[in-house]
Amino acid sequence: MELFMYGTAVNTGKGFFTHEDRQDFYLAGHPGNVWVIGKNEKGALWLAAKNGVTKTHAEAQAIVDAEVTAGQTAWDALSDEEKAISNRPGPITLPYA
Amino acid sequence: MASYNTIRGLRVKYLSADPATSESGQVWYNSTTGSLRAAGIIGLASWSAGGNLGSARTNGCSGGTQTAALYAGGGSPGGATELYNGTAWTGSGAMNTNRFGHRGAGTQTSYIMAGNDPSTAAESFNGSAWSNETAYPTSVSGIGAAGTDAAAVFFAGGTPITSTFYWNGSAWSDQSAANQGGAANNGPLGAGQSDAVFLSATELTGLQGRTQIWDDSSWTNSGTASTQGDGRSNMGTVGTSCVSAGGRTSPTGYSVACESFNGSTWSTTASLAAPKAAGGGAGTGSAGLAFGGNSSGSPDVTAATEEFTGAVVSTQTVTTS
Repeated sequence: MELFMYGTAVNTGKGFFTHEDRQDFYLAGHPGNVWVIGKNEKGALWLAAKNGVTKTHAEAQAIVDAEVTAGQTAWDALSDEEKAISNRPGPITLPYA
Repeated sequence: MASYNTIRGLRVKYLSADPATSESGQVWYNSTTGSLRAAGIIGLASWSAGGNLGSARTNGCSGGTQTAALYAGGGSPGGATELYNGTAWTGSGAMNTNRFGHRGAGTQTSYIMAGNDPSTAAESFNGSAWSNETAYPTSVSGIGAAGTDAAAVFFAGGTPITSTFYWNGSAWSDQSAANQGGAANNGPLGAGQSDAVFLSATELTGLQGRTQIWDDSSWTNSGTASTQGDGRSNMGTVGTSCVSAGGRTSPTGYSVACESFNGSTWSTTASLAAPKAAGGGAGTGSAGLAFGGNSSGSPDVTAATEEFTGAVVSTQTVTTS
């Protein structure tokens, strides 16, 4: 049984996810407005209510990878002073189960 | 059948009234009501989405409460101040000079900040405008702070610096140095000038997660946080509960991990929905905020705000029916 579903949705701020949502299903945000969501009815309804777009694991991973690559490129262009106060983005592997 | 003493290592206390504070699993006999009472968690801690910052920023100074917070300076736009009302952030008066890695203490309408290596400048905020104040005695970034605009304690910092100074509303006075120096995390951690927590955040120095408690005269080493992050968002007070959220946990990664501190021990609590570091923190260990900071995407800063609600412990009468 798959434990996670994947989607993109823009965090609109207050109320985008609630305490109840966090109790009802797993939810983790990643670069590129990618969300990993616990695969149950409430999780699916949450993504739909946020006008989210369902993605496969591979599609979601590709979005995150592209964001991280762009972040790395931007970081590499920073001055040494700016680099000292932030991290060079590292690879992110979305959970798959 | 196992007894309470066997399970908890404690006898059931005989009390004339329910204790003012209790923790989950605690059991006692209330002699006034003649009932066996127990405390249990009826609501788990969790983070929910708050209003997004008007501008994504990192390394600003922060403070206030969950429904009246401020975030000022840090990454572009330079010197900007935003105020949170529990729902949305709105812009306010800009700092006189933009700063990075500074910290402060106080409320949304009465706030003092210092730090920003190599400057010693300090500024205060009255809810709408910033004023220059007497310079901080030491040039420092990554400083820690707690208290109010009229009675604050500022301490430690990168390099590492161990200095501790009191602010009385107009001047700084030297206090006992911290046992170990190092950058502090973001957001006030402590109830006030005489009750602060220094959670060391310096990366790659072996000081990560080290905790020291200020008692108005000296620093005492305390428990070590298990998630040794840099740039975590802090909130809360020693007497009740502190929470430290997110942070840089590796040279390439940002964390969602959060821990709460009860005055001696750090324990894992609910995780943020999205990882971040070097953002702001405000509020308490039961009603907190974490906002802004670095993330792993492009741009590498976030405007997201998350609101923390601590676990709810309720007292119930134990019945045998």
